[in-house]
Amino acid sequence: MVESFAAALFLIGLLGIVLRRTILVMLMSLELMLNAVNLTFVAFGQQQGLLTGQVYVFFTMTIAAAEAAIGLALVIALFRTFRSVDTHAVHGMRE
Amino acid sequence: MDVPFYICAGIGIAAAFSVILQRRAVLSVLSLMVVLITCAAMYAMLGAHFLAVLQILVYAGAVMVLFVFVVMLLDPEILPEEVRPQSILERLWIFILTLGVSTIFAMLVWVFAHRYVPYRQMGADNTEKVSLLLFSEHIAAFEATSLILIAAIVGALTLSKRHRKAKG
Repeated sequence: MVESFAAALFLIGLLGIVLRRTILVMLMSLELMLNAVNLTFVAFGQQQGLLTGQVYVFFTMTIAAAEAAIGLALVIALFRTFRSVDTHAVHGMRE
Repeated sequence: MDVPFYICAGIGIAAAFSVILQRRAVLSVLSLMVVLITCAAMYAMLGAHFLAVLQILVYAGAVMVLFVFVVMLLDPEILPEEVRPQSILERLWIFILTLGVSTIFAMLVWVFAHRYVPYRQMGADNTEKVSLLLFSEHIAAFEATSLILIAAIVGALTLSKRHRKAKG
């Protein structure tokens, strides 16, 4: 049951990344997908009676926090350069 | 499974859709917070009490504060017309999301208190078991994590530093 909830969460996150162009919302969708994967880890670990899944989720959370910090710093840098957070405004390589 | 799970799952899916569909970034962040607390409740239902607390502290606490700060820095400048007072719909959204957070929190407390009958036998030592595993078998990865955090701090500082025409 939890696995299907996690799968739904993952798909919604994927949908957000594909549909939205605001980079902040894309980052949030990424967080959704990461959380879905974490839930799957714990759910399957529980099914097998193992705790290793929970240890992995601990590491994933750390890396997700680092990823959020870097991603948001990138958003700030992007906004300073292009005065926009729309991904379509980012065309520095084209010129 | 059971009723608390379905309530949490319903609120979680609805809030996840709200994350990707809201126009205002602040409402997206608030919805994401609902989803994260839902995940914490799910962890608690699965018996992973350590991760449930960690999820609330790290994700719903620290990471979401980062997002809120960035929205605060960016939002008025991206959307100048959005500085108008909140409409009724937006207030309704904020009310609904707050209601969602409260429901999930009540559920979380209820799960911690009642869900697992042999709570003191199997639930209470979850933190101990995970920590033992973390500090014995996975100690190398645990130490490597600190390197990643240092790299993230340095990277974030470097990226967000203001360059004064350094590219010349």
